[in-house]
Amino acid sequence: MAIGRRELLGLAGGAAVGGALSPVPWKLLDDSAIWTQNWSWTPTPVRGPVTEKFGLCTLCAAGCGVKARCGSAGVFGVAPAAEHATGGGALCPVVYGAHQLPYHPRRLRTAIVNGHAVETKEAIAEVARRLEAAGAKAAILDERPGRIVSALYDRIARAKGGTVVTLAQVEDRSLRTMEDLAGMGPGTLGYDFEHAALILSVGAPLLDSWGSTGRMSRLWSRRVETGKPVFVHAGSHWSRTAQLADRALILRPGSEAALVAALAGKLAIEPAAEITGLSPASLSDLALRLREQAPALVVGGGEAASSGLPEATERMIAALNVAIGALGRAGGIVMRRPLTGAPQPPQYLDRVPDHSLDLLVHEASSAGIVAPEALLRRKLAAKGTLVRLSAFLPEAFGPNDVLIPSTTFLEGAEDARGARDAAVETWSYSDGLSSVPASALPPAEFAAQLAEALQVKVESYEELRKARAAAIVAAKRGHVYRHAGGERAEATDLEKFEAAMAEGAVWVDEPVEPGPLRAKIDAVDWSAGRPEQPSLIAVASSPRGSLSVLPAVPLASKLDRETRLYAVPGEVRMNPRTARELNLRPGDSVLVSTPFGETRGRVRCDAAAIPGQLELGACGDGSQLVLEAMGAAEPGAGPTQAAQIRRS
Amino acid sequence: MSATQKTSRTPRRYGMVIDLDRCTGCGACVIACAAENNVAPGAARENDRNSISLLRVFTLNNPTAAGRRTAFLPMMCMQCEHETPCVTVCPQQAVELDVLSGIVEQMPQRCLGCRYCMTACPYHARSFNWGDPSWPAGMEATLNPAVAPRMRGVVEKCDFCQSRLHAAQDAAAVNGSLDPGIYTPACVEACPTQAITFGDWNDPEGALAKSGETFAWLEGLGTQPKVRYRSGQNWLHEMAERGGAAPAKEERHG
Amino acid sequence: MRVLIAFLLGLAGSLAFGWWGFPQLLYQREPQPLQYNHKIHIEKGSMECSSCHEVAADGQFAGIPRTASCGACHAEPLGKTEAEKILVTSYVAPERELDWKVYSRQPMNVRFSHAVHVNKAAMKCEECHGGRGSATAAEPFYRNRVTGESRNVWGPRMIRVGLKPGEGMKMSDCESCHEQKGVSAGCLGCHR
Repeated sequence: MAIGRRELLGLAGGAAVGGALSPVPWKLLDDSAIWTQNWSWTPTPVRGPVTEKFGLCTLCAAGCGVKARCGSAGVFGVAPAAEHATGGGALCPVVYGAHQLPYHPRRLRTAIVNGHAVETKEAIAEVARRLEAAGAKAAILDERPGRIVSALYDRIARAKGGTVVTLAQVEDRSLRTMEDLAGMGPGTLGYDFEHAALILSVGAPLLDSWGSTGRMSRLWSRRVETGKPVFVHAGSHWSRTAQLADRALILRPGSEAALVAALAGKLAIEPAAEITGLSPASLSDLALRLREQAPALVVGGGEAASSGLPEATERMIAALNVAIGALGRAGGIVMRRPLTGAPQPPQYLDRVPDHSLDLLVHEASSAGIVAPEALLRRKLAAKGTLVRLSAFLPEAFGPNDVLIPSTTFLEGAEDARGARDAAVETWSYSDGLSSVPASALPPAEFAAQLAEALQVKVESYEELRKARAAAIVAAKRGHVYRHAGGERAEATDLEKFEAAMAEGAVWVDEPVEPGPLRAKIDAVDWSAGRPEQPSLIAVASSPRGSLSVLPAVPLASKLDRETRLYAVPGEVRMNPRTARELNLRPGDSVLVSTPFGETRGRVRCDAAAIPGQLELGACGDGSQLVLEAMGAAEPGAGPTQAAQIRRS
Repeated sequence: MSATQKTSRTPRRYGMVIDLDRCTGCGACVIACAAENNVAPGAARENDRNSISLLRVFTLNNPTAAGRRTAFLPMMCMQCEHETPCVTVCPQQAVELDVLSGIVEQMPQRCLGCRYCMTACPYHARSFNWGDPSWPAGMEATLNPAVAPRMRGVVEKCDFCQSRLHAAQDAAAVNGSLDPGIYTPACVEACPTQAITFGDWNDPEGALAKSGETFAWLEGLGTQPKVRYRSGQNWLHEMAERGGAAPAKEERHG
Repeated sequence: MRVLIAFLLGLAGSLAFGWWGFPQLLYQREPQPLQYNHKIHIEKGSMECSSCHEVAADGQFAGIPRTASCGACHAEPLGKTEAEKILVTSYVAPERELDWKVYSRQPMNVRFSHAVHVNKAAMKCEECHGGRGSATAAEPFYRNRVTGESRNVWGPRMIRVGLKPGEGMKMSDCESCHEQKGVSAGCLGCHR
């Protein structure tokens, strides 16, 4: 049978009609519609039951309690633990995205010695060798002193003649001056903000990730209801605290000393007004209110993303506090009992002579601790070794550095003492909610292995933790707060204490009954110079949790780049008028230089910026250069810096 | 909203009152929202114009001399009730106002990506997925199992944490009720100063009814938003009427 | 005449392909990890559906039970079958999860509340899952090569008429039941 064109057409026609009467087109249409709604490359969450567990945030020293939502694939959400003694049911913004930190692309997965990847065991042996060789010129930098692992560091350092040091955070700066003047040990004073009627912050970021977020937030909320405490902020730029304060006084840069001297009555109002640029009326009004709106207290410290006030100014602030009766008074600066069972408090790294260390072991496990790279490097002698125990690859590392991979948020056993500025000590611990990656060493494990390599005999982490728990129970002070049941219990039975703590409870010490304290303030020098007035100043502020050597939480991009709620890294924000005066246009690449360093960025104009101010984004990548330019490594360099800007 | 729809329970009108005097602009709500709703961290190309933020916090500067200098304005979908602009314009019926919850529901599966709703929304509360959602390798493990990530080419917005409403509904169903009651969206839970009150406008005894005098942003449009604000500062009330600060002449072209 | 024959041949060919060949091509058979006998658990073990597939007090539905709950009874082999031995040695003892292919699995963007349908609306499992609970063996699982979903979502036959309970779990099936009962859940009641 010959097949012609007509037959072929017939066959095709039949096939077409049959096709239309078959399910092929209709089913494919339906299936492809479903397919397009569920692209295979769109990530799919893992199904499974959801549970809630209590854990401990270790991103800064405050040690807030967190409630973690766990699915079959791990922690997928973070919520505050209600009424937690330090968190108080409130957390910092970055914590809500911190459960993604373990998967950060910069996660460190291998130990590195002199730029080469090595086995962790080898790296620890190398650290032990160098630590042994450095002898008294070795130091261990403990970012959060007072933990169980701090005792291990203390033991190791002392056995080998070295020291343990810590970083002075913004909360430390005023308190340590007061402790020096009062002849008290480090960590023995705290702020009793809760009972204060008026809080004057001299450049302190009290409303921007200060201390524990929960505490300041509760105060802030209460203020709306009761009108107390009143926040007055005096600083040289429109920081977030200045924006939020009930009253903000914008000073000429560097004139904090004149303000404090005038408030203490050591400098006449008129010249002080002239130096600070404030009106005489507002100065005398504030001086009056500090005395009449009792209890009042004054907090210094400077910005977290830059340096503190000069030591001389801090001494004036301490003396002013004594003069207005804030020292030892409820609602002022109060004494707190040292944490039971904690080792000797370490000394501050910035007080260690420059270039005096051959080895510095830095436990960089907290993103919320500001650790200026330049400060660490400056303490090291030429060819000194910086050992870093970190979960992440730092932005920069030197040829002699040793890097050891560590744990991060909710991984591994950790314990925490409360915030530095708290009126009472707290303590909590957690065994971790996420599994520890094979390559990572939790700080306690690192310390134990280092001790072993050095043949220093130390107790195990568990033994030390049990010993501290026993000491706390034996002291019969304070109470234990359990989130699970939301109840308080006395800490009298070790077994019950440990059971509660394992569930994420927090132990809270009893406050010390406020009583008069003395401080030597006669020697305080009240002379306040007349600072030069730069035409441009650089300021840097950012949410805490992104200024350490650790990278920022991935979702932090929502806060800066994506919503512009905070200064954007790599941008120099300025008023359009300032930009015009400097002959700059938005998007121009510029180089901002200060006496301490320089940083690059792109111009962004914003009518809300204060003329004459260059706002630098100190968050995430590149923040170490901003910190350096802001003089964060130079104690007392002040919260703002004179700046110059040019196109690059 | 079909007429035959049987409402086996009293409909709720979920809404919020945000106390602007309590907001410190910390951004905890923004991050908690993104984590809860499986919004990916911003890719390098994402900025304030093309990123996905179901909830934003705007910084407002006081143009007058009285009151605080700065305020922060958290803004998510306002769940407009009257002639909801996005519902009206959607050619796909991908947006609807749910009668049982009062929530404006966005259906990514139906959305064809025309972005008409984004133009229509007076609050810029909608985001468009310019790219496929992607997380760094391994970070998919942190996705919320109760929320489906949205695909490229669709619009998304705040739905008052629908997954939490679902969970509340499941819990209620065990006890024989269909009413999810007052649950807690992620932003409300995260706010460290408790500036956001979530509740039901239909409940005369509820938290919203007790929140005192409130105002809506751009009340004059008449869309009756169910997210309302509260503040003791006059300049914020004035700004709410205009929708923002009138720029000063010199800054307009800056 | 020859044209008509060619037409009919084409018609028959594409009909045969569409109704018989196409389903073979569209679906891919995947084995279940174990031969599970629902009937024996219900009859001999005197268990109920909810013994393993329970709705927790907070409303979460357990779905397929985890190996740990199998291990509660099957710590040691309870019979002499090969499947029993595999269960204990390969899964229960090493605490490994079984990779069950779920016939009723819906795409990610679908939300279904067992708590609402079972606890509140008092629906029987069979109304949606058919006789799965009394089957003596795990029936073969077919995956749609285009959508990646189970064949049971569409139903066993290409033509979707006369579906019995448990056959077909498409949105239209949900909708028709909701329409019959006169309840609406809105879009996001069933989507996420």
